[in-house]
Amino acid sequence: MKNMQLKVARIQNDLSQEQLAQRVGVTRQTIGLIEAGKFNPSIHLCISICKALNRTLNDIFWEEKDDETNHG
Amino acid sequence: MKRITDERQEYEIYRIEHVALWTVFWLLVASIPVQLLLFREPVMILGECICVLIVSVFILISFVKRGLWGNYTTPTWKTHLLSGVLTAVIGTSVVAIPLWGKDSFLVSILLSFVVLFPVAFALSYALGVIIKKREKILADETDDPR
Repeated sequence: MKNMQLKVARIQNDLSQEQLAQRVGVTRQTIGLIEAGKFNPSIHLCISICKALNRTLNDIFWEEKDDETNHG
Repeated sequence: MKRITDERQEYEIYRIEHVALWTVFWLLVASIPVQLLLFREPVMILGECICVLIVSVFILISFVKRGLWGNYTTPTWKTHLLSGVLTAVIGTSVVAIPLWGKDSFLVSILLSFVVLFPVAFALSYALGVIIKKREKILADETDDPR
């Protein structure tokens, strides 16, 4: 599943994939694959990304299920 | 030397190495009966046997140290029985190749099966017991009684 929260947060911070990658010490391809939902990052990398984007883990990596959304 | 790959690249390198090295291992194992069939000379496969033995012992010790058994099975009586039978069948087949056509063929393969089966079964059982104990010790090390 695509991580749209990450893409939106990155754009709101006016960062390219390359710039975000440099800030967290990974390659641009890794950021691209996380946004595309094709790579699950470790908790350490998740925290680094959140810090770089001034967001919480919930903001970027929490997936709301349909039933939770409906009942929440 | 400082690592310059990120965690995704490292993971993908591990996956490539995993597939490549297991392929090499099984090709090496397969080369043993093939060479025996072609040359019928056990001394020709000594190098391959030593390599397979070293890697196998390394894998076994690593699994025991970390309290791991495997991805698809657990150490049960059924698994030990299967390990014993498979090892005896494969081992006996390898032993049978250079002896094919000789007078001692039947006695030798029978003896091979009778020796290999209990040895493999006992080894599998002992490893299962040790690995279960090791798993408990490792779990206790990080246990929080509260």
